[in-house]
Amino acid sequence: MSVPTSENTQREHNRAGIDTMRLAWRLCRRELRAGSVGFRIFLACLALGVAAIAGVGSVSQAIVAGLSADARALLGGEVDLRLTHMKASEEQLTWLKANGRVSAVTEIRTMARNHDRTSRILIELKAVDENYPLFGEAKLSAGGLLKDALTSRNGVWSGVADAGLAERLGLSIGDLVRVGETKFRLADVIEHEPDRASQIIALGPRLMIPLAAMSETGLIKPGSLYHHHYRISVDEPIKDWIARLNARFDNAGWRIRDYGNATPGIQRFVDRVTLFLTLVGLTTLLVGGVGVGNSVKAYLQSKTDTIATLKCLGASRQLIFYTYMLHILVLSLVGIAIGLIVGGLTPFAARPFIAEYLPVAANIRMYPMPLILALTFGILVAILFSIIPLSRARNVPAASLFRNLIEHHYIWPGTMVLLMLGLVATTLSGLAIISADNRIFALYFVAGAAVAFVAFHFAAILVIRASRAMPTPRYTSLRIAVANLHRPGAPTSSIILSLGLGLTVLVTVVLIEGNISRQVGKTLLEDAPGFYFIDLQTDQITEFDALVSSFPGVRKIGRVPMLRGRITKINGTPVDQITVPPDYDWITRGDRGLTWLREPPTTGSNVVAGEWWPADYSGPPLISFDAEAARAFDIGIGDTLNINVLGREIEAKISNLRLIDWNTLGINFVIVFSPGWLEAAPQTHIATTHVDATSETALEAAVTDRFPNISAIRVREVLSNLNSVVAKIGTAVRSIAALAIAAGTLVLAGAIATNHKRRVYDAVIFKVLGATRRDIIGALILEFFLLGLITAIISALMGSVAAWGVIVWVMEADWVFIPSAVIATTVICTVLTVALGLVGTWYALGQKAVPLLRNE
Amino acid sequence: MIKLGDLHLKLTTDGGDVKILRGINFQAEAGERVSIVGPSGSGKTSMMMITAGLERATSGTVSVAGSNLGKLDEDGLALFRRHNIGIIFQSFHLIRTMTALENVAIPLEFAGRADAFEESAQSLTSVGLAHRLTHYPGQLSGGEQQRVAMARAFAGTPKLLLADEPTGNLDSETSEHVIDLLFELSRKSGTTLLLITHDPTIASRCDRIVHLLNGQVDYTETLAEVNPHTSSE
Repeated sequence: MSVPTSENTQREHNRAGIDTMRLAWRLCRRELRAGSVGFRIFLACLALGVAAIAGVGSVSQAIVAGLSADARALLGGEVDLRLTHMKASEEQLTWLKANGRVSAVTEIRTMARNHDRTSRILIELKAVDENYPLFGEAKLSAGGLLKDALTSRNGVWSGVADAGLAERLGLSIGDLVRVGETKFRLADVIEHEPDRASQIIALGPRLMIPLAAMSETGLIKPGSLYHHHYRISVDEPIKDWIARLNARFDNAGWRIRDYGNATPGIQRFVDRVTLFLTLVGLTTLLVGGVGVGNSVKAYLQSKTDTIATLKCLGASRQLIFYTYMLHILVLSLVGIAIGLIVGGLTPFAARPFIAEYLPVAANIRMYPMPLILALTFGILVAILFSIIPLSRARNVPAASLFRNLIEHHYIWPGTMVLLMLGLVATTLSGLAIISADNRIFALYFVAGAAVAFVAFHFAAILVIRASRAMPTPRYTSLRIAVANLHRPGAPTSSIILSLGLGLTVLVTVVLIEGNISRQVGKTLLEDAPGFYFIDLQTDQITEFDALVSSFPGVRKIGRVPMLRGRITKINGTPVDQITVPPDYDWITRGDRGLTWLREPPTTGSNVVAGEWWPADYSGPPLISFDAEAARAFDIGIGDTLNINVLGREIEAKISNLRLIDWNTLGINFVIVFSPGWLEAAPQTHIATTHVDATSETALEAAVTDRFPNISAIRVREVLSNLNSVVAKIGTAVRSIAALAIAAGTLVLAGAIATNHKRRVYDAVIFKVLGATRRDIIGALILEFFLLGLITAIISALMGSVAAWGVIVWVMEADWVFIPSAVIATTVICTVLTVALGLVGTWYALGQKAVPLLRNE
Repeated sequence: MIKLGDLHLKLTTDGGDVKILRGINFQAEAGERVSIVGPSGSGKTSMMMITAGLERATSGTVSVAGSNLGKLDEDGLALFRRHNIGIIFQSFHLIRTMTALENVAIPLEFAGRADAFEESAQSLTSVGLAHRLTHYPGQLSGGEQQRVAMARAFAGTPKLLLADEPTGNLDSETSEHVIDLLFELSRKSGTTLLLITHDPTIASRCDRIVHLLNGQVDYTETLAEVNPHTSSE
């Protein structure tokens, strides 16, 4: 006789586990013979959620791949060196030409006028040399070559422009367009500009001219806000080339960008939108998860006889759990596979939308990574929402399984199940956070989703208890409707949770979008200046002030000197070695506007720490810094910043911090220098004017005709452009949010379907007892009306709180409640619920009583 | 109270037409208690369903409590049942998600009775279920469920009570209690009773026994004929 050892026991234990698993798989396969009957909602919920995540991810990847594939063309070269206010020195240029193929481009914002000066617009002027473009191809409407179009004929230079410029100025091919002190003949219309996709919002249409003609415009003056780009094609690894460049020209003051990071603006934009849409997609999946849970619960309830029989025949709890868990997993994979196919093909369907919304060509194909991510999310959600029903089926004693739903008591799922639940929920949350570009935002989302789930759960409990506790209504249909909210097995909880979550997202999105839109469209426009005038030369100030201040309709003028500078070090540490919070990295990313002032600004900012320097200060350089940015960088009074201004590095000490209100759209600067350090540097001035809307055009004409180098930026137009971008993003977000509503609707449909048999039975009995069709329909309408209305009210409340939080805390803007948006979504939800409820139960009304009533 | 004249019922099935009733003629006076007996498939339940307005006859006339059911639409039939009929089924047919009290109150509520719940509570008390008002059907025994169904059927004091094998799902002891109660309630309320049963003992407690065979009335026995020594309940 062998003595049992712990090793033997362990082995037997393992074998028994494997045997149970095998048996479970065998039983599962038998269950699968029934196909997907009873699982359609389950499959649809998973497929929808997974498709949303996979679709968003795939489209995003397609765009990113497109950006990456065209990176050289988008950047204009393999390396782009950008200098502001100045050109490269001869020495630098010689070195660049000796070490690669160089194309020089100058960009400036300026005004363009038609020949007779009757109309004018702000344009993005770009002067290109004969090597442009180094990569990619510029396409013109007439099909000719760019270099042939950009020539000089009879002393007049030619240029090519966006169709928008010709349209706005009423120009035809061959017409003259005035820019600065010269004019250009419009040779052709630009169809495609390979390196245009560097920014989401352009302030005006493009006019492209030969670089040789730039000097004739008279726009390049000391301090004017122009950028010189040197795009280089190199024959060695980019990093090595940049290292050699840096070794040769330290502190050159240029911003170096290589094609590995060709379009950070678009990349950031795509990343942010992707993150937002992915999280909304995840909400869809979570909402669908409620449907998954309901389906699994209903399915397992329908299998009670089978489970009871299996248990009576000796099946262990473990075997039951594994059998049905495997069954659910197999079906989950089917639903997920459908979602992956739809999601994976989304870029193909989205191609025209991408082309319309983004200035890049997406690389359309199937991408594995977003699909793997969506697959993982799908499996985790399926498990998360199935564990509790599975554990209940496992734990309910065989005898209890024979009883009907009324006798269901709460059954403690068990510590192991709760641990498993916690593990899956943590993994899901972790994956949502880790896979996000902005993890803090994703963390907020996860926390918000958890809070929303708990809040909706308790709200549902509250509704059920309140409906039970309320006095019996006298009106019979109302009493039946109210009672139906709290009946055993009533779908109240899952409908409030699922439809409510989707609706909350929609209300939040609509309110945020509405707030931004209203803020931009109304609040800002009321307080914002009508114009920014940029590139005022110092010697033009007196005349400019005289012209503008005496102009009819002008109410207020603000003007400050402006230079461009780049923060290179913070407390002696180079900024590229400092981790900056994503919301503030724009401050260190490139050139920023700087000014110098004797007196503190009177509007738009307040000194909140430290002291402003005396008006006659003439000591070492001091700066006044943005208080919010200082907090983000963890710096304060006495800390130092190194700022490169026109190639000269200035180390300045922070003397005070200002709290800046960016919403006013007045002139605000992150960095303000003390007097004595920038006055002598080449600089321009920037002016704001508050002017009556009726005088705007006349003022623009008067200023830009008198000073051709000065550009007028119409704030109204910029905000309108901004609004249209917000609207486009809003459309995308609302579309995905609609998927969350669709998932909620599926859950609602599922809940109605699950209760269908009961409703048919109830309707028949009601008829037997003398209820007319009107009585039954009345009760149904009231029930779904109450359910829809309650869900909508809770969602409106939670969505409003969420939107308020985002607007006030994240965007730090003023909150405006928009009742129309909330009322509209509330009405839609209620109507949707009633309609679906009625459609789902209409069949019940037409049922013949006899077949149900005959003795079995 | 009930007049069925040359009643025919034909149902169309996949296998062709099936004649369920083949010319039934039947009358019952107000307050009379009639049992319908016959083998399975003889048409007992169909006859009762037509009498309740739950099934429409293919041909023939149906007059119950002065209403010509053939002329009523579906809602008219519902209103007719509301004011005239109480039904007890073998399978009880209670609404499982409603408490005993709610189940009994439902027809009264449909009838717009303001005292629906008070009346229902009284009705349940009269069947000995005062302590079960808030229980759901699943929490009640078969006998208790049938008593709830009886309380529901009698709650509106119907003119006609239809009972389709009310003890079919009950054990003999419970059956006896339920039938005693049924006859007692029927006697107290003066309701006409049409009772389908397979049990000759129960059938013999009625004033008259109608035997159905192949969808026709085979023959009828009066109480005196069945048991000359027993008086009616």
